[in-house]
Amino acid sequence: MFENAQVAIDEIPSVGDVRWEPLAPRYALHLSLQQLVFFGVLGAVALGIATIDAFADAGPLALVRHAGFWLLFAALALTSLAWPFLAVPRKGYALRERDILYRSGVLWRKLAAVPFNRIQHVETSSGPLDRAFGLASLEIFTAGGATGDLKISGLESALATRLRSHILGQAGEARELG
Amino acid sequence: MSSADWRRVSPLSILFFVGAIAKTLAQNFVQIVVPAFVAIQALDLGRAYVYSLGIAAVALAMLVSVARYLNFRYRIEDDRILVREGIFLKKQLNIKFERVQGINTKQNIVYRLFGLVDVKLDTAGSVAEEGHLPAVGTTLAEDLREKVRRTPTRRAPGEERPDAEGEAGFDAAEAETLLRLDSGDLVRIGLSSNYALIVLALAGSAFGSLEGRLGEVVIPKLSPLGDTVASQGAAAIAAGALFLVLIVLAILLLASIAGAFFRFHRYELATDGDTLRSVSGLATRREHTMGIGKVQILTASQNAILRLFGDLRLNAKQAASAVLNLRKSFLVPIASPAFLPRLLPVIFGDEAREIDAAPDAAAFRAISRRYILARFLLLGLAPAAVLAMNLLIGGAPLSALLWPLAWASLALGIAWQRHRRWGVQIAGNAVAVRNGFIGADVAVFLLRKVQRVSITASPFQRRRGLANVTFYLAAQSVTVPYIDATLARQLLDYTLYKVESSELGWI
Repeated sequence: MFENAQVAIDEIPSVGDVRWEPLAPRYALHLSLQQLVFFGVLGAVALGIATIDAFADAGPLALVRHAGFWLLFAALALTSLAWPFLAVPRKGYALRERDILYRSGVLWRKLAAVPFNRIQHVETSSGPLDRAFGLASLEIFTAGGATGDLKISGLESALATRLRSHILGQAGEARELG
Repeated sequence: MSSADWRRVSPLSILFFVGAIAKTLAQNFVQIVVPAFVAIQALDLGRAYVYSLGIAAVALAMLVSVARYLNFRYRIEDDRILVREGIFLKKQLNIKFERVQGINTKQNIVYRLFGLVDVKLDTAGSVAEEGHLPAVGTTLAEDLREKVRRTPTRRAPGEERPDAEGEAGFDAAEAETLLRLDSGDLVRIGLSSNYALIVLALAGSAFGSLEGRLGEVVIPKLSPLGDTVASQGAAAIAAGALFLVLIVLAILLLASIAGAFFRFHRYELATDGDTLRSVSGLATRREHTMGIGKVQILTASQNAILRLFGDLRLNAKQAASAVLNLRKSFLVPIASPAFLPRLLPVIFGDEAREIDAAPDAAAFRAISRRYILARFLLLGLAPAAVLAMNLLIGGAPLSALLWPLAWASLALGIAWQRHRRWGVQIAGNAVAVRNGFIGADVAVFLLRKVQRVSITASPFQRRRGLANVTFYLAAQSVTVPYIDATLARQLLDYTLYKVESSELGWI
């Protein structure tokens, strides 16, 4: 499938060789907290409904139904709370001379690469919770993309700013060269 | 031509402005007509009132159009065109010729009688900044085109055409006709349009249900006790209905063919220096141009009917503007696969030399067979199992299990067929990816024009050492699923290498 390039492929740099930079470890806590808020609200609503339901129908089967629901709810909530601690260490970025790489995914793995000479602009952003944790997101845009083409969340905010200016500088240089 | 003074467009442009108002009204038809109708009912206005209101509205539209015409001025300078317009809110546009990517003209019958054209200057920016001259003389349009052609566009240093030095170079690259369509081609365009496909599908289902009815009607007729006269009448009605459906179908297909004639009559595709140019149309002649260097991706698609004819529909796509949801492309409505070797070098130069983009090309390599299994498990077996469980719990007879069985085998068939269509060619600087189900779509692009690239792998794929590669281009993204994971990584490395080492730009 690839005969023409087979010779060159050994000489060109491979993404297999890069050293991945991790995200801020406390980003997992940040994500977990978000899940906690979400499931807290959901749980409160469910509790309200369950209380009304308990008054309306207090048969022995209702108890089984309620227990089943709360068991399922607890399992889902716990998995969601724990997941970020599994997922965040799997995420990472790598800055090379001419491009930036980002990998993510525990089950469904993804590796994305954006060459500097195709970057249109770069954005950093941080929500209220991000700021409380001192974290920020970096978003890289290329031509033709609808949303951010590469979004790296959970970076130290100072690092995000430094990365942005570095990438912008590299992108400008790349554009001038070619 | 003294080019430094402000000029008006032809007074016939008033027609265009009236048309624009009518179009806006038509587009907001529901929003306008319903309240108007309610108001008329509620106020209990007489007929005379309604008519005079209508006349007043038309008069107002005319007045606005005349005012717009009077306030529309343009001025052509050596390196740019200025446009001033607006009745109350004045707007001035300043378009440098070096920014113009193409000049598109349109000429309807009225304009043709008076030797006028509608000119649109296609710039890289947004629609709001696009220059538009509603009615100017054909010679002026030609002058504009000539000026744009002689203005060197801003390019990356490496992209300079070697033969574009001086005017001799331009003249050497004069227009060359690539393709002309005849009446037979137009008929095939009409028959293979998406519209025709829908009509045929509807007709198919209508026939299906009619056939059923016919059966119900005809069978009782055979029983000796049946009321022969009544059933004969019913059969006649059914036959009549069938005939009616046939007529309607024929009319709809004829309409589709007529549409093709209106749009593509005397279609001519040509290269003109470094632009592609097409001219076509029966009543309204349209001229469409696109800078060849701007093409991001070329697609050759073949729907079911086109496949029957052995023809292709070609689309050269420019960078899409996601913000404006704008997709610019250059259409060749019909061409034979034999035309591809002629067009590919025109668009991609030498870089796609080794690509054979015909959907039946032997050069396409298949993706992994695991694709069939994964698709079958996900879309066939899993839903079928759920359905079977439900049926069994619901106490359905065992024969009902034929449904999930049928579903699973259908899914298997679809997965198998789609796997057959998937194919990829990688040759030097270019990639061609084919996919489809009944028809086939081939996308050809240059690796150096890729914006970014990614690899994904599901748990199933990882166990089998497989992965998907997605190439994101400025026009659209192209995915190659279920290829060897090592190859996927090499492909990513190779693409990055091509993009980063290329001295040629992507636009």
